Amino acid sequence: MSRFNLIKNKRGDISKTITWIVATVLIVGVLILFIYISSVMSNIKVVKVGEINSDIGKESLVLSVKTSLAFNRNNTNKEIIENILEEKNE
Amino acid sequence: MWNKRGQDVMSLYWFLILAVIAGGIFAMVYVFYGTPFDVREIEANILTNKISDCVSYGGKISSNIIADGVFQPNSNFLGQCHLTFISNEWEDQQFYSEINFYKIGDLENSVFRIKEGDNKWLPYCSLGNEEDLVKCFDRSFYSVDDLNNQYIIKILSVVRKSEKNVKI
Repeated sequence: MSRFNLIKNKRGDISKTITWIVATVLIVGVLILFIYISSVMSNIKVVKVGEINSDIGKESLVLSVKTSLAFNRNNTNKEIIENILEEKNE
Repeated sequence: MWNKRGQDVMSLYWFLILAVIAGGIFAMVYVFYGTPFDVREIEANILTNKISDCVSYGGKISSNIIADGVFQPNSNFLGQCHLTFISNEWEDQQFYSEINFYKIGDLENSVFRIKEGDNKWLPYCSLGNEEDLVKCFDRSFYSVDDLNNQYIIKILSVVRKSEKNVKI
């Protein structure tokens, strides 16, 4: 093999090695990013009342029905009471 | 000979990369599914609803609480509603509930109060980091007694159970 070919082969090896090093860094970087995103998402695993589809646990429905039934019995100061409840249940 | 050594190195490299990717996927799944869902807000909400059913039915306050316009002190009112806060699963009680009755004219001072559970969790409601330690949930509604006297009823439910709902 001539000296020229040897130098050409060596250069090819170096560029290939650099490509693999960059690829490795990218793969590890993307993995670390994904693990971080998983960690952030795991911290927001809080089920809130407004997020559930079922009526079970929806306080607004149960308590507003109770309030309406009570107004059927005595609706004096209805607006005042409604304002109080709106303020308290904010 | 050199080519063979290069191939061996590349094979090792590929196995290493495969191991790193597999480890990364395992870490992601472990981190995400290792954290429990925090359902305490829903739990406190359901507790509030159950207590409200116990306190008022059809818009009228239970006769176990108020009769002829007079409040009836009862040490085990929530027990009568089949609500028990004691569990074998926990050493301490993990729930606290407070029901306050207010007259329409005075919303600062409650005329009657029912408490149940461990009230040592109550001060944590006002702390900033309540997210992790306890979940506090309060709701108010309107009801009348048998003489049609009007009351605003405020129910506060506190659920601790942080070990099962928050990654510590």
